[in-house]
Amino acid sequence: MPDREQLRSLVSLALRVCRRILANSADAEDAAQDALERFLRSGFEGRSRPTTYLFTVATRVCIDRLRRLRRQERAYDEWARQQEMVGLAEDRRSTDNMLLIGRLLSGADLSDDDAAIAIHYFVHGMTEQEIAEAMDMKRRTVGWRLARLTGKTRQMVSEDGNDRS
Amino acid sequence: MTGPDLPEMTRPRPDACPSDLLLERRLAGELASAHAAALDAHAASCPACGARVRAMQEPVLEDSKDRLLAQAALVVPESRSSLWKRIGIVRPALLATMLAATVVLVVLPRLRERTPVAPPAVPGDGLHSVLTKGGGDSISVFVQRHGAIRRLGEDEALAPGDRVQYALVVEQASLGALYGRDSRGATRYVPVEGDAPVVLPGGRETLLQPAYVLDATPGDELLIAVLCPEPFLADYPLERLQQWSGDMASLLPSPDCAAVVRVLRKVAVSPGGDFP
Repeated sequence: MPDREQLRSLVSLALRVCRRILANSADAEDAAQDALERFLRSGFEGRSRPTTYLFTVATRVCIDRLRRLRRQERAYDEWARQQEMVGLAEDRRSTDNMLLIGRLLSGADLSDDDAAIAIHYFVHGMTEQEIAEAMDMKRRTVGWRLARLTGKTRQMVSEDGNDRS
Repeated sequence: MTGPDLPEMTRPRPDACPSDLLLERRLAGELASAHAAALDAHAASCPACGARVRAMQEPVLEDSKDRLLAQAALVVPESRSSLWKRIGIVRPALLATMLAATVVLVVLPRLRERTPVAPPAVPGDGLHSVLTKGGGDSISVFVQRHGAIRRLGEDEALAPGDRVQYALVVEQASLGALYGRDSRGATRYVPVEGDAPVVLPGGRETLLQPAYVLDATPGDELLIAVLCPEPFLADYPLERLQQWSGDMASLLPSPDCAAVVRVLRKVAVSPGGDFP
């Protein structure tokens, strides 16, 4: 069981992960709380990489929150702008990625695994190998799914352009 | 950003730079020493990664971390945790109950007595004279037009076909409901979930659902948010708004409640036009 210092480190990590995905501090705190609870109840002690495990748990919790945002018809553009405003997005590319992820989750028929892969790659900057290890998948599967996700966003952007013309 | 200006998604940083996960693992001491040393060397030579490491080492919001720490401690089983012994908590369930009670008693207290909002001088056509706000509370409006979404400025106008969504900002935790009254006297209630007023956390903007598409009814609309320290029937202000004489106090379910108003200007806009 974690001692107080370890618990403090876990709390900090969960908050950082959730704030990278959910710009709103309140949403991030709620998600971090859920993630910590799941992590602590899961019997994580036997895992060789508790950080990786908490990372993936927190990402899944945030995906659930993002899907709820979709059902509540939140403004994704405002969400992406909030990311920029709180300075979490390192550059314009990160902000654009977050905007696209939000729209991908809202518009595409995306499985939880695909959503997790998208966030791991496009938000956390993980490599295909890291994603494969974190999600217990083959690297080839991750690569194939990423290519499909990229195709979906390309199609989404193209459809947006057609709607506006 | 929307439409064809959107770039394709790309990995957020160059291949030579480590992922957030790898840096977090380095901070957690999970990496072998050689690997950790290589990462440290990269961070020292890469300004972007050095900044990321420093950001990860900065304390996150202390208030939220302390709260999460207390709640996380509730999950750790009592019998085998040195943490429990250190903080002397006997039963997680009991503490959870106490915590919940504290939330009820502290987070949603009876408010200090609010100053009732002054009633508008003239109802109907006199909507522009109504702009009165209670302290730091306010109504926000988000509007989507031609695919772009943004916050509506106080002096900006809406147009038929705009898709709007409202949010409430309150200084103190409250229960609130939002109503609208157009220039013809037609009234509406903006529901959140069901018919009950929504819990509004203090010091935060709460988005209300759902979004609406503006129709072609001419004239401005008055938005009125009713804020109370205790639950109230959402129908109460709505019924009085339908026969409203302009007396704001008549809409309030109790003297402890307050109202926040905002006038929505509406103008006609030509197709393809931008925000006026």
